[in-house]
Amino acid sequence: MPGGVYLLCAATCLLCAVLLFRGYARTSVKLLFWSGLCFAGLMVDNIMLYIDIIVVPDFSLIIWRKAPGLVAILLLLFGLVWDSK
Amino acid sequence: MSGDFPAELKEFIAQHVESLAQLEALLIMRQDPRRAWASAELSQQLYITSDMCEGILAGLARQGFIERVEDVAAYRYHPPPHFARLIDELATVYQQRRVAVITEIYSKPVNKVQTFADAFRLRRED
Amino acid sequence: MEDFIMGAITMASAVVALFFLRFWRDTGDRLFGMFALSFLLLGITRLGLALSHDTAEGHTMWYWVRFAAFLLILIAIVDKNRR
Repeated sequence: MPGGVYLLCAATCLLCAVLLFRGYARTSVKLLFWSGLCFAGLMVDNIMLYIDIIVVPDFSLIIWRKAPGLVAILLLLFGLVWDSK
Repeated sequence: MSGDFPAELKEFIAQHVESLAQLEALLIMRQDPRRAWASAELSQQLYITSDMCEGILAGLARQGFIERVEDVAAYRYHPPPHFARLIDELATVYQQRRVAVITEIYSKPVNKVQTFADAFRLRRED
Repeated sequence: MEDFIMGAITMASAVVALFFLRFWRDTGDRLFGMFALSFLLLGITRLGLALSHDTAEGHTMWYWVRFAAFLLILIAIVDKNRR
């Protein structure tokens, strides 16, 4: 069950990323591009969580795992500050 | 001549008019408020696809300018009074100064925040 | 280092949530309200994990909070397409 939940979270992020990139292709609004990158990063975050906890439970990837989450959210923040007006 | 456009109409266009096809649809339906239009019929008047027309009608209904007539799966012109007045005014201006209105529609800045929300709509509506 | 990263993510998530909150106010689109709540929950998850020093994210209640956050985004998208 927990593994499935991580994968569902990852799938949700993938869906968001695809929709946002599609929107970016249509409108050329940069905000959508940064947001799309954020969700792509969150997807990686979720997949790594899945690998860390389900696939290789004995071996903690914690530090490596935190980086995508941080980068993802900072990218979104940048997009919001830079291009939401 | 587009500079001395009534401010109210400018505001209305900025907030509610997304495309020329949408405005044309609204004005056609306004000509006879009793008539209910199916997407297929209206799309022929506008020379656009029925799918595109369906999206426009759904958008207009969401804004409350037209209402859905359930039993015939069509829409009828039915704006609240304050919008009805503005749309009447816009119809007059559109007749007299068509180019000015079209310029106004397409020169408004893109609302980036709204494009974010609209990106999550799976079907196109424009 | 770990706590620092967690703290940074928490802060950034909170700011993102505030942005979405403002978009919600400006556009009246529920999608933004749900996104705001979702990012707030994601931020809280990191804070909770950092404070509890529990690295096994798989076994705590935070796991469910995280799940709720992503579920909320999914619901927001479905809701947007049903309107």
